[in-house]
Amino acid sequence: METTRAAQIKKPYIRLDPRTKLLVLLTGSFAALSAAPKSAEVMLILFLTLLLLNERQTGFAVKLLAVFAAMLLPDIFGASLLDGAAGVVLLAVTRIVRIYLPVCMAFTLVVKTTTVSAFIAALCKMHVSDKITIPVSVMFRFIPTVKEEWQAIRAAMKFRGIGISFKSVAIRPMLTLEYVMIPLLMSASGIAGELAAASLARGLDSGKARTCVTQVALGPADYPVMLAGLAIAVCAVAG
Amino acid sequence: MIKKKLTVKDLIVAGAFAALYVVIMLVIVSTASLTPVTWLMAPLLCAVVLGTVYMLYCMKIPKRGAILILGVVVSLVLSSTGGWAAPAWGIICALLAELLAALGRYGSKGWYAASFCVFACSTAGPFWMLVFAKAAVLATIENTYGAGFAARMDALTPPWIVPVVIGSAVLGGFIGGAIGKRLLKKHFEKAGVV
Repeated sequence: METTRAAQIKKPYIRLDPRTKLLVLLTGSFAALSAAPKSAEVMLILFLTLLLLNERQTGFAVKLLAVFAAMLLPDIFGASLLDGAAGVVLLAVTRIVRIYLPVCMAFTLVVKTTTVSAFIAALCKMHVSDKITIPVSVMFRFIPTVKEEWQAIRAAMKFRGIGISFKSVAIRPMLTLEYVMIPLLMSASGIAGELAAASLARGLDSGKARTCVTQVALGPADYPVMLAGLAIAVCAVAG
Repeated sequence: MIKKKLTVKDLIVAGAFAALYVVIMLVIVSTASLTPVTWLMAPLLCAVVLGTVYMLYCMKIPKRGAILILGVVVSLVLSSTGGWAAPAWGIICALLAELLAALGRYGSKGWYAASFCVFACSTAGPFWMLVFAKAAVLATIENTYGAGFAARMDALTPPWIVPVVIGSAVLGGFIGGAIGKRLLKKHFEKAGVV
């Protein structure tokens, strides 16, 4: 199981508050999904790349930036050359990838560079109820786990000669559904129980206000980043 | 059963199941949105597949408020993709589902399956934008998928499509709930997970 522990997180050049990152995720995904003009799209990607570089996620940032650039090429050069169905499909695929790239980057920014305790502390400062903070923070931590478990289940299924393909979904939808969902649910409920036990051992249910070693406060760097995030969202909508 | 409050352990389990629910939902929706017809079928498909997750979740936390928490988290995720109508609608669905579960005193699998018929409608939330702001939705689609796709989408979505999509979600919820009930019995009750 993958969790983001304090030791695994590289020290950023400039520390940003989790609230700032959440706002970037919100405005970023809003901008990405609102059919932004290309200029706003490029701005958003560069902005997120800079933030990721700041958090020392260099490899990931460069990789996604390269994919984005590759996906931009058909729009700039190929659009007039490709007529007919092939062109439409190519354009649609590249644009869909380009919509989800910024969301993916912003999501990584929130999840991979923030500890759970800093995240909860930030949400507490926003006066969000426990009933929302705990499920939401667990959810953010759990999404990479679901992906990992899924890969492990697929590998195990392949090993036994049960592949999941378009064919198996079409011919035996119910059986395929069962084969996929049951192991996934089994491992999810197991891990959830372990996670709960670990959190209770650390006194999550003590009822007292939590303390956090990491300083969670809005610093001088946070406001410009927030403003930039908002500005890009406005640009994308006003386009 | 009714009086029991949600503990921190329940909230953590809720987060884990919400993650599973959201991931599967997003995988289905993003695959389905490749063509206009399957895009309209996304709520149905989601409901059929997610019924098992929902049923197991309810069996693990048979308490007041559990469904609402899942609904709020799912709505938060939907809000980033479907405009303002989606979260409002999602929370209404979750509240109604909570009511149905309460009728079953948070212990009846039949009532939980019935509540999923309502809960499953939350994925139909983004479609409300077709009623309130169709032009904007079509402009977005045209920008992303091209004019041909948008024209087909326009032809496929007269105003009465929203009730049809919601109806399909209810149907999917019924199927999904039934599958969920069956799989729970087959796998989880035997293994002692619930």
